[in-house]
Amino acid sequence: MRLDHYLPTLKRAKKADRKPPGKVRRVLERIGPTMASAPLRRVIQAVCLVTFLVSFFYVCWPYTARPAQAADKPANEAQLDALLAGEAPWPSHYADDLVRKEVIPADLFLRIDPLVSLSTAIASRSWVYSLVSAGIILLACMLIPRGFCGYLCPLGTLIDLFDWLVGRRVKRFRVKGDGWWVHIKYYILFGTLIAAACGVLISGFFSAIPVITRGLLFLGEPVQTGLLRGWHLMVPFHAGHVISVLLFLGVLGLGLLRPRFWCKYVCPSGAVFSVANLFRVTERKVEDSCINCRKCVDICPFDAIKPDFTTRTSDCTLCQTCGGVCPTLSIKFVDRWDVMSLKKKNDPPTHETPLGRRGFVSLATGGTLAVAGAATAKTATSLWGADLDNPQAFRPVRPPGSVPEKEFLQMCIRCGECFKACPNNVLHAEGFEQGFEGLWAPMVKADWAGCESSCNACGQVCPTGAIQPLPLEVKKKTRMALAEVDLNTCLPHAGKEACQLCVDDCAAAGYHAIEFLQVHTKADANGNPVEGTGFVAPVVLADKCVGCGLCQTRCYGINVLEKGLLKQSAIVISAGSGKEDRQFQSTAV
Amino acid sequence: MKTTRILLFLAVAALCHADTIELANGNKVEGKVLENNAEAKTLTVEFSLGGTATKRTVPYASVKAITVNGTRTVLAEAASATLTPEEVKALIEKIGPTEPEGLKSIRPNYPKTLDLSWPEKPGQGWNNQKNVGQFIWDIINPNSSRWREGLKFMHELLDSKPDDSLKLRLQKEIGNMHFRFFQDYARAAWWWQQAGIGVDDGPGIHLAECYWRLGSKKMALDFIGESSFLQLDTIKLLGDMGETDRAVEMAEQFDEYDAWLLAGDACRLAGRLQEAQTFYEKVINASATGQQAQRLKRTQGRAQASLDALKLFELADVSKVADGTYKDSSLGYEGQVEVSVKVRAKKIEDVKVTQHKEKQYYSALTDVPAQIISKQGVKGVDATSRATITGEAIINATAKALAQGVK
Repeated sequence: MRLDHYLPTLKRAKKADRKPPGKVRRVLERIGPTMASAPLRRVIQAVCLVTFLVSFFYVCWPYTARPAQAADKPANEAQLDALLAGEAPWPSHYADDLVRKEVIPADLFLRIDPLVSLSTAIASRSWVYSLVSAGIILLACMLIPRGFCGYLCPLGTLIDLFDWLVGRRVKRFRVKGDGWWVHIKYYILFGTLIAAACGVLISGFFSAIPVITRGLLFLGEPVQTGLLRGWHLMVPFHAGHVISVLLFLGVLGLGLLRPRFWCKYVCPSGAVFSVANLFRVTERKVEDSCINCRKCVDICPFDAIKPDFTTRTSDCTLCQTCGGVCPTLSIKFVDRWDVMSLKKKNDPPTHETPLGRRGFVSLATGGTLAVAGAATAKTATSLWGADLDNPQAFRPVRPPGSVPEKEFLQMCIRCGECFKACPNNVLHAEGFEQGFEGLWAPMVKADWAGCESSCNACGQVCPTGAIQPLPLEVKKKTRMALAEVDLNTCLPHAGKEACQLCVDDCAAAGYHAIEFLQVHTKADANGNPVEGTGFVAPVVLADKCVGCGLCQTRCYGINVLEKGLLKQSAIVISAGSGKEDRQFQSTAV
Repeated sequence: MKTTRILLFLAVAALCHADTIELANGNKVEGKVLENNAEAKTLTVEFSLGGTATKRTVPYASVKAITVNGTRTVLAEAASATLTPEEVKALIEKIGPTEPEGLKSIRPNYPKTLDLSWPEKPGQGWNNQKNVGQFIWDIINPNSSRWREGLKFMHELLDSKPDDSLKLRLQKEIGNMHFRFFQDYARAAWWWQQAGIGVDDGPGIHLAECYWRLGSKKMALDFIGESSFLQLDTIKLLGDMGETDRAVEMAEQFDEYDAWLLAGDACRLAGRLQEAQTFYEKVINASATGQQAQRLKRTQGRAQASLDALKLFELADVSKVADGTYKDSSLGYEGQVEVSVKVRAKKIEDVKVTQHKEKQYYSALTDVPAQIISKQGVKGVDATSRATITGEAIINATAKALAQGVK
């Protein structure tokens, strides 16, 4: 079995016979040596990065949705009956728009990041459906060990681009040799999994795809919104955003130390693949025609070639760049058990031992640190966390279809995909309202915007099932909160002036969950009402309100911001027991 | 004559291509009118369902209007053909005593604390959980979703063998509800007749309106003629019936701001816009003291709103607007939406939203200006559905901007 796809160097016996390289090869060479030696890999990387960016910036950009005109044709007899019976057609343009654009799942890369599904499954002790995709990619990576990192991962490709643009020009931060850092990724992986086993999900901080998703969300999305919709619609930053952005820039910045420093040494998602490499069926092998020219060592982006030119199998991504630069065509990518004319090992000597004293010390130290880190995370969340048993504690309004709060905090990977797909940024990244435990989780900020009745995007793009993918018919009845009118401030209730913004908005959205009550009517001597006195004031019907928050958005936007009549919205949505429908539907283990 | 015209129109419609059917319930469906049965008062329509077609027969009553080749015809007018007073009386006798469709299945829904004897004078204090009239006023009236419950409640009280005085009041209130909530003129008239309402009683002029709405203007005018004193409602009804001159004449006899407002409305309805404007301005310039001041203020508010709307939508005709760029704003979803309108040579050249805070705007920001330009005005522009608030703000702001430039 041979998996070679690299472009071999041209071999000519005599210099005189050498013809100038062909057109294609010249173009590839102009782009760079890695392109010339393994073009297929670079093309796959580019396709994956573009797919990721299209999913993020186009598929999860809800503003291409167009509301259906009232005169649009019904699609079936049931819809016609509904129209004739006077039922208002329920709008579905946001949901339809996502279905139309989602040729491949918008959260594909999040699903195939194995650490995302693995850690959420462990933390919540439940079956997470994206484990299937993670399993598939791990199986595929038995054939191409760590191929995810070399070919698919958009963060890796972005880091490559960063190195090409910046890293290779700034030499002063470069580090030499292998230091204490070489195994960090295993300890981070170990630590996050221990934390997950304790019911605390911290993998979102380090896992590759959540890191890049959140980076683009907090850096790219505001620019996209600003340019395409107006800068006033940019969501304001808070400390949580800053931390996430610094983390993302830190990941890129590690590229100054060494190309792909993050991927090689730090990334815990990569560590999952390195561990899975134990079961690889293929690997890079070097034949005895090797002339020890070191070209492969110099070009390898993953430091996966030992001084004796054999392979560090846990690091090799099978990118095959080395194959393309080898002047003697000694490198082959074959099945693990191939032993045909292999090069002698430890020649020149590698000075590497399987597990030396220093190795043992660093293993022990790293392992201890990982356990300590996990314990710190666990302690931090219990001391400075959501405090779920305390009814007075802050309870954010979660997206519609969210699993119960305890499981939600264990399943939400904090990737931010739902914010991106959410029209009008109803969902904001939580800061430290629930301490460390709720950081970056989605919460509804109804002063900013209300949940659109025709949209179910957040659940559709959630990779872990923390937000269940509800069909629109279910979503429109799923309560996320309950609106309550403040009788002391609401303009008509307080007898100040007529206002029916919330009632109109609720009816326009199709819920009809706020009805009128005539208040402050003056009566004549007989107790009969005096025409024209008093106001109609809003009353929330608790059995119809789903807590979308559109009423609050309107009251805040007009009565607080525009007219300055109130200090805060007089109708406010809040979550809590009895106000929301949150079921844990995953099969608990 | 009107009926003939509409029947002719429907005959033509049957031959033409698919168009829009506006249902009485507010929904719009596309389809093709196949057959018009004038006797049974039904339309047979082939509705478009995605790619296929489905035939349904619907009563006139459930269709509000149809649009064929861009021409919209209100069907309700077809149903209200001219009838003789005898025919109207027969209609009231036939339909009036029957129960409206679906009322049986409605469950009454009212607080147990209500005093069901409904004393005529509930006494001091306002309590909508105790006094029936106050419950209806506070909770039933403002909510269309509760109107049928309210009607059911009245019927239930009537069935519980009330004394004669209460019985009369219940019959009157049932008539009121049919009129006010459902515009069900035959039943309203019947119940009011049961309660012995004359033209000078509370809803008397509304009873006259029922006669007119049911098809006999003569019967309505005769009934009004029996009146022994001037009533404001009469001016409104005369205006609605198209008796504009009589309405204006009566308002001048009345010589009071509420009457002028109604006369202004009558003129506006008849397209006599300058006269309407004069009446509205007369109301706005009026003054009053004491108890009247509060009432005048409300009337003036209405006159101002009508005058604004008149200026905006009926006087703001681009052919009267001088060349230039006009800016104005109107309240949208989140705040003021500012629009800039460019007019040259009696044409709207460009409409642009220059400032806004809207979040939920979808296409409204581009669609509505495009519609205004293509229709060369704000009339008939459809505020993109589901973005109505933003769309209407753009329409209003455009109209206000145009009004600035009227020569």
